[in-house]
Amino acid sequence: MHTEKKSLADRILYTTPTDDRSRMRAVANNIILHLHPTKVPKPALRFTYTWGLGGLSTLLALILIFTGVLLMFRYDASVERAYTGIQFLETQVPFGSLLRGIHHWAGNLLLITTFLHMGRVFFTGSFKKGRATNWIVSIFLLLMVVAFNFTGYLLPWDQLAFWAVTVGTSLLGYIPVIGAPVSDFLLGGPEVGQATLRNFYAIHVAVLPAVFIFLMSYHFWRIRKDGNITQPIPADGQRVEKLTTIPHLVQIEVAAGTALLAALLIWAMWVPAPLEALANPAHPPNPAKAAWYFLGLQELLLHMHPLAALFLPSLILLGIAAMPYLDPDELTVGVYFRSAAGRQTAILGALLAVSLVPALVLLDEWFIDLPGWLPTLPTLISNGLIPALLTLGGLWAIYRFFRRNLKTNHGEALVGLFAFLTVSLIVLTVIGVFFRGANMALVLPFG
Amino acid sequence: MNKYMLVTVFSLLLLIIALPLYWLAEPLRMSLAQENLRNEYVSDASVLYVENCAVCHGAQGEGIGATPPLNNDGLRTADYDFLFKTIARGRYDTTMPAWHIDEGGSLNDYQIDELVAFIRYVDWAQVNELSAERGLIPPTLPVPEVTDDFLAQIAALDPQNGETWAHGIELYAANCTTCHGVNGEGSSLAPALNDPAVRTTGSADIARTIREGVPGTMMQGWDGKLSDTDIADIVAFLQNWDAIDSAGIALTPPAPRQIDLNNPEEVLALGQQIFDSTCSVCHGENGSGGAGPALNSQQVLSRVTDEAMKQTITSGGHRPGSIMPAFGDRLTTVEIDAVVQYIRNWEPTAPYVANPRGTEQGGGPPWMHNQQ
Repeated sequence: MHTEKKSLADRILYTTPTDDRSRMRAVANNIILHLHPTKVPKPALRFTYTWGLGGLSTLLALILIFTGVLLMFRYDASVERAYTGIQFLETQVPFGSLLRGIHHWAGNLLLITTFLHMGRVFFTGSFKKGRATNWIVSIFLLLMVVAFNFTGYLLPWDQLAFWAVTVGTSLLGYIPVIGAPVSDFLLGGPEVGQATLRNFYAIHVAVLPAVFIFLMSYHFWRIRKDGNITQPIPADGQRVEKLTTIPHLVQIEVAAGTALLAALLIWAMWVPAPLEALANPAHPPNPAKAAWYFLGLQELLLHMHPLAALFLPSLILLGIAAMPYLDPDELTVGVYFRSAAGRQTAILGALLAVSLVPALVLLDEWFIDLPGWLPTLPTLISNGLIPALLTLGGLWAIYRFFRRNLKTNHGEALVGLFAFLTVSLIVLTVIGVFFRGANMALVLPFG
Repeated sequence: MNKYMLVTVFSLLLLIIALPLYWLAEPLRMSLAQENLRNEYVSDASVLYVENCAVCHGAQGEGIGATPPLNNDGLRTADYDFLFKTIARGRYDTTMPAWHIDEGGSLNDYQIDELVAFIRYVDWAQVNELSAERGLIPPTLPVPEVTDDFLAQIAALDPQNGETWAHGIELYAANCTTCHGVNGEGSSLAPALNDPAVRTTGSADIARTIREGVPGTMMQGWDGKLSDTDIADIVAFLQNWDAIDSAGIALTPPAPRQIDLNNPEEVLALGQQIFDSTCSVCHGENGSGGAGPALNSQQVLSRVTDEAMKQTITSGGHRPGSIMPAFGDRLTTVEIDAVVQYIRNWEPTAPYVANPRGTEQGGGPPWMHNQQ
């Protein structure tokens, strides 16, 4: 028991402990720092191992909660007053525009950091060695971040919000049997209106945060229970040097956190959150695009039957969730890309995606016309089943190519496939954002 | 100090500098944002105004016929509630209908708010410009001109009642054509009156309808605005419209003309109309010159560019002592363009040296001035 008598000045003016023992005790006795172990392996502190993505995502989530609560004071989820409320916030409330800007950009950034975080965890094999539960939890967290962004997108009730959500939720209608009832339930009716705004608001500020905070806490707790940050298994007889959390880990976190805070704040000061004209259900913009993070999916919709375009990503997501069972080799835990050969397959997979996906998009735009070539078949088969099977066959071929021609093992080939899939999603999103113009025709983004 | 400390200190420094700077600039940013928002409201509402209101209140808010003008300080400083409710709910006993969606109109809260801001802050010349760009020239209501000859013709139709009919049609032309049509053909606002059903209705019934109005429609009661004899005269005219028709006498509407701005002939015709009514007083018929210089001459046409011509019309003559007035406030750019195109269309046939100061226009040598 620590019974050293402290003066009042020492209690108020907190001073950093200077010896390792009290530093470790300070970590163990602090509710926030206790999220960390008291000592961390030295190689785990390398910034380019984690890129600080988990910590930055957490900070962004905290910023979002803080700014979100402040925004709630001036927001009214009614179609008559939501938009004018935002206008009021932007023009009459001191720091209102900055507040909205921070919330907007932090929300979009969180989507990117969580996506990259998932990529980092996959590539370092950090879902291995008993971390399957947390891997699946983290996939739910990622999906929740998407849901947060999507529900928040509607709240300003401007043209962008209305039509992005209209296009986004119309995808639901393609799911057989449950699609229409789920869509009606979420929208509170057949189309986006007052009921939708209320629903999305409640989901955005109450349902999602409650679940999210719980899952996030569980995620942190599991990381500690599963043995902290993953590290390569040391060679026999080798001891890994460990350093105290204070100051070695904390100083990195503080640096990354303040840098992010400064960058986010200055960016939000420079670029305010966008606000288009009031939502007008009678005048869809052309092109009517979903929110940017759904444009990869929307791009897929242009090329195949909606059922296939929903089936493929769902299957891939399931596959990613099942990764701990598909790639159970525990020896490669904590090693980027599993091995040097794995790194090469990853680069090759990424390059393949960058070249193959645009080529396929162009080919489908100008040449391939499956429903036209197979007029006797229903489009669900000619434009749905066949392209879906072709895509899955293509993925299988890529996997076989990595295994056979590059002489990689199963895990390394999966790394290549994962790199191909994630880069494909990014490429499809870029095409959807920048290369789709009026009537979703292919255009050049410049001039 | 290691690199992490450096990053932290540098980031904190950035925050410490950026936040107060933003704080200092915040009042300015807010006032700019308010101004932008106001302009956005006004420009959105301008479109609404041209589409919905200009037909009655005029392209410059000057008010047409019995419709009140909007371009005055009384309304600009009027209470927000008064303006909003008037637009939303209409005004009882007038032709102003209710515009709010909840009242059977087509505008929502937001659009009516925009219109209130519009009435307070708009520059009416720009609205005129906008309605011209949409091809509504001039946006006046069909209030036909009634000449003495026209009335005499009607009076001559029937020795006994002709005078009554003439008085009736004069009142009709002044008050009723807006809704019932120049020749009683009716419109989307009101039923046709040049109709056998009306002629067979008893005169007492028609007179009562005019006097009391029809609740629930845009037909107001005219009691107090028209005397009983006036109303009786209108009734007499309505009941005998077929007699006037069969004599081949009809009112001619100066209807608002919708001009296709992509059709050069229509634009040219507009230019000619404006030139003949406005410019020829000084510049002479077909630009032959007068108090102002002749324009139908290569001296002008091959030397002065369209831009220079527009500049002169918009801002007035630039030479000292020029009496050329500025038309920028009175004509829209569309009209000025049309006039310039009309003038330019003389170029192929214009004489190299016209008789810019012909003796008839007071030019030439002094000794010839009196030789006409």
